[in-house]
Amino acid sequence: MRTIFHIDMDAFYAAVETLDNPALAGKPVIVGGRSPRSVVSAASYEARRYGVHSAMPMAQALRLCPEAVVISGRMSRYQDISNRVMAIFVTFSPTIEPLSLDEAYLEMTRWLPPGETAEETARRLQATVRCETGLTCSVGVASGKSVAKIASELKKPCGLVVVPPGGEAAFLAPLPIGALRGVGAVTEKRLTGWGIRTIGDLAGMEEAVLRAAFGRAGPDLLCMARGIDTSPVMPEHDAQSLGRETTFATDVTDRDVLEATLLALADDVARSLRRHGMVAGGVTLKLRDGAFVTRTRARQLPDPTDLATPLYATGKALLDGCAPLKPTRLIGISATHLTRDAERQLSLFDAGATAKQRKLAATLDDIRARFGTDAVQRARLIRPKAQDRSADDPFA
Amino acid sequence: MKFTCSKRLFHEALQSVSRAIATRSTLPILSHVYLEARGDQLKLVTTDLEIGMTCTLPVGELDEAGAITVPERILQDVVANLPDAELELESNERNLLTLKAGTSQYTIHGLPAEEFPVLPSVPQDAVISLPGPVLRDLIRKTQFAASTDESRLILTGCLLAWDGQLVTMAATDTHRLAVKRVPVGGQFTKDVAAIIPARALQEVLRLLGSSEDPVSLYIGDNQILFVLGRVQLVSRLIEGTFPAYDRVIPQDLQKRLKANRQELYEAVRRAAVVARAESNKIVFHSAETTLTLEARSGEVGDAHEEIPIALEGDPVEIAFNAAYLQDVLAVLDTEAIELNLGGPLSPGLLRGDGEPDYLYVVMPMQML
Repeated sequence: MRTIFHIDMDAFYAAVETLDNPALAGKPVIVGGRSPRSVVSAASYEARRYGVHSAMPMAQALRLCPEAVVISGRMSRYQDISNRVMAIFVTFSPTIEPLSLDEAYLEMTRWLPPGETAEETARRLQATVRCETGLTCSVGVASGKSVAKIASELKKPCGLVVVPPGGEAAFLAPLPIGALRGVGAVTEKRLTGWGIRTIGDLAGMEEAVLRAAFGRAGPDLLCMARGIDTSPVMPEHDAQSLGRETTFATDVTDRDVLEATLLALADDVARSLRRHGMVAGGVTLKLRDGAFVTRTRARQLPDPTDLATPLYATGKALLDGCAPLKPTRLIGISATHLTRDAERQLSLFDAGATAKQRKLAATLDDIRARFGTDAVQRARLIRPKAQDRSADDPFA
Repeated sequence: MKFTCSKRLFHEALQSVSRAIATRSTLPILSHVYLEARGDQLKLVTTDLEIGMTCTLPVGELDEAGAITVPERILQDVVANLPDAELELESNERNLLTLKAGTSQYTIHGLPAEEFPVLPSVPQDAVISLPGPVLRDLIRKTQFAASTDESRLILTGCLLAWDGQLVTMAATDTHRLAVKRVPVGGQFTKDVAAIIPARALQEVLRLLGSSEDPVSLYIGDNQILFVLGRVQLVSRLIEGTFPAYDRVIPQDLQKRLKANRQELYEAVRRAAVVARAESNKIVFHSAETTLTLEARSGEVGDAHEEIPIALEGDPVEIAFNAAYLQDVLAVLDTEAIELNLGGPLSPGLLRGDGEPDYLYVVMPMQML
């Protein structure tokens, strides 16, 4: 059975605004434009109590809740926070499918830590998000995406609903048919016309009847109503990856600077791999020149690794293959083809050397965890570079 | 060129050389078979520039010597469906091959024979002659351990080493190593260490079938030639030095586990059904008389197998890739096997009980 999380941040935009301005706490907050034609993009739970919901015309919302604090949205701020939230999700599973800034599916089947139930992992995820961002989220846990999504909606805010494997149909049965993805207003109207009100009613129908009424969508509807959903969690990027990139303050032509930057990034990526207990089977190098032309080059690694040296060596080899280089605006490196370290096939040939390297890396990680990232540094990276590392994007 | 020959022999010859055809090549002539009639013989040649194959067969009546190339696929499909009878083949200067059998007559567009690449000739510095079954055993028990990763070219080949007395064949993909040795004499001038593409060996294996006939190996610096009766296969050798595999063969392993080969093979095969849903990992736990195999997949479920064993040394806990065990257990022919182990992260050494000239080293998977 698969285990899938659907995570939905609680009243995301409004919660971010409250976070940035604590004076708003406890007040009805509506995010949206102020013009008469604007609609509500988000409403805090306090505002929702007045009947305000997203997509409602602002004028109507203000009639329902005249004392609401209206804030025009700040998308770049939401994007920043969203990046942080997604970065937390990635530490729970590398296979994540973001649906929007505040919502994602996580494929957890292979990523539940041994000895922890899905419910415990979900609680830990909620606690981590709250601790690291100050925001709350609701989680639905189920064997398929659609049931997980419905489950996460059920007990907002801070909700956690776990649908046990095999219990999907029973879980869905009492819910109104409108809760099903794929049941729009028209379908709902036709079904209610037949006296079908709950998902359970729909699940009990004959496939032939639904096929006659809705064509090919009929059987799909029935599967959905019975909680049968095998659609995979689809990561945005083809390969699950973990990367870092840097934009230089001024375009760089000095090869040494590029290589040193690449080494620092590889170090970062490797550390992050180790933190997540993952190993990379491939490396992607990303270069953007002054004219904003972006090139990526990828290569598979002979043996999966979580060490900076082979990541850097491969990145450098890819860089060598990119000659001649134009002045470079951005350089990035990603670890791809991720698998769990616990599933790593060991190599016959450099087993001893690799084991030593890993021990060294673990020791360095330990020192950095205790005394800060700069406590130990590669000699090559000590010389202060005048380069500005302005963008650190964990989703490169 | 004009001659007659038996349809059956011609078809067989065509089939035996068909595997060196390049199907997706920018050189159209590499999808052709070269036909040359001379004396009382017909020679068929194919090549994809990595390997080349020739087959000779006797012709019935030769009216005119000559040569032509025609698309192998077309010729094969036509000949395969002809009734068993005498074939008459004739080519002309317009590169047309006419093929007659009974009331059937085909004219196939070909290309000039001169355009067909000449297969390299292999110097006869080192010549080894092996009985078919011995060569088959050498290849079968090692070739599967070669790498399929083209970025590590050397490992996509098998090492053939010969010191005048002992022939060694070895292959490794860095996760496992297979080594087979057999005593062989022959025309020896210097030490041989040739890396033969695993693919060429696979073709040799196919050509060998269950034949008991001896096979001659002519080993040059850049090519190797296998002579199997009427059929010859020439392959380029992979340049470079094969990794020093001797040093990864573990010595002094303290734990020795004996099991029935078939029982272990079947248990691994079943547990692999679960293991392959994830990373193919099977965990071995041994007690004195029982070996437990476990595989776990969040999605599929759990597998648990037990087989009787005899254990010398401390109990063992180690994880292996199921495929690496299946591969070797499938080609061994002894009734029992012996698995020698050290620690959970050290390589294991597997042998057939009573087959001292074969060894298989397999690296475990991380145990967490």
